[in-house]
Amino acid sequence: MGKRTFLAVFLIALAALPAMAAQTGFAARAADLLERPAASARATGKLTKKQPLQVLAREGSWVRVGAGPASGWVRLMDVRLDPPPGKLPPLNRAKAAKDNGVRGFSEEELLAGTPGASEIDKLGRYAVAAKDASGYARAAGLKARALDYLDPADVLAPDRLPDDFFDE
Amino acid sequence: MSARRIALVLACAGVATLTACQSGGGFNVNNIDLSAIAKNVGNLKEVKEPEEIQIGGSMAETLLGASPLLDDAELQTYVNDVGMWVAQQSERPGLPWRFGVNSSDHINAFAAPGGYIIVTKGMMKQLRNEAELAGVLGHEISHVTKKHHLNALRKGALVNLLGEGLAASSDKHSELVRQLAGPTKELYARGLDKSDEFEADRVGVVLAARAGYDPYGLPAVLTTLATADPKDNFLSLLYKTHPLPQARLDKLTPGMATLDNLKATQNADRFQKLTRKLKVASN
Repeated sequence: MGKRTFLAVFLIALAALPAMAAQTGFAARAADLLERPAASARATGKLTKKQPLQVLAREGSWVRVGAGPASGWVRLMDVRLDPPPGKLPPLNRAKAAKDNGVRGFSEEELLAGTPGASEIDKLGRYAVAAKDASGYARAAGLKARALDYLDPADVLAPDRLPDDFFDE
Repeated sequence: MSARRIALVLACAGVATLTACQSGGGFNVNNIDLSAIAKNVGNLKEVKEPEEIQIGGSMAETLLGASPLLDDAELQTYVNDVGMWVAQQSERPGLPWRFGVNSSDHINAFAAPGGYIIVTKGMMKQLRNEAELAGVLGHEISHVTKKHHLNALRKGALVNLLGEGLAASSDKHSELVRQLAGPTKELYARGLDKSDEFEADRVGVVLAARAGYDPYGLPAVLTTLATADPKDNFLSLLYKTHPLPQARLDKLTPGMATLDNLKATQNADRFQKLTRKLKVASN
């Protein structure tokens, strides 16, 4: 493989990394670092709550993280990301948007708006039929599958909530 | 049911807790006797589907009045394709589902009864792939299928309606829009109960997963939002009307484990191609 080809392959491989890769974050709660992305895998270390970490890879509902010298797999939901530098709109954008005449959707603008009869007609013109949406899904490689809803009792179990949950 | 009758019934539902509708008689607005309708308060548990759609359309008209649709037919059709496909996985596939992206730079999404869903341009810019879009739409679709806004209106948000009077009009649709504008603004500025939002999260992830998408689309969006500055103006309404993204993620955590090992389509390429111009246009 020539140097140039190698570089091209390397760059393509780099671009193909999942969006979460190489991001920094912290542990949402204490969790075991596992050898493989499976609940049955052997624990090789521990994360403490709020411990800083680096996200190295994702596989389904699992992410491989590095925390200091240790690394291993934890559930995606046990990880929170740090803010990406400069990615979110800065506060002064609100004023800039107003100056440009762009209408926003702040509470003030919601309250001040007048109903848009022509807009609701336009919305109707963009609507698609169910069979067209199914056609889109087929072309996009999506297959419907039967899945039960999440058990509310499980989701709402109070002992699974973090200590600071009610602090909002 | 006429537009006026819908407005009246909802108005009565709104004041039911204040017992005005239960009074023996003589409670009139523009000579319409509300006490007759009050006897049917028990029937208010169900608003029939055609009325639900009419009410939702009127509310959506008010929401679109605050920020018009983005002028991008290709993107609008795309969002309708994805949304309609996710909605087909729900208990109410036959509703006339309508999806739209508005022109707002604020980060939010809205649902109105009967199948009206609006996502802001600002939200679209935060998303990285189609699975995340499906997750957001799944959340909004769940608000519709679970009738969260309709129930909130019935619980009393329409109490102001009586104060505005119920003027007769030859145009029933615009009359309904006018009657519902105040309560709609009030409801969307105040937000739903937190329990409704948590329910929409947990139903929404399953709808997106049933549609074949990565079930972690919505959690990924919440993870992005959790990294934002809560004081950011562009998130102010979302933060005011929803539980904190951190709390929503924590609530979803145990249940998400049951969605392990699924094929997780993200369709990042098509999403990014269609949203690229949004990102270029205003950054």
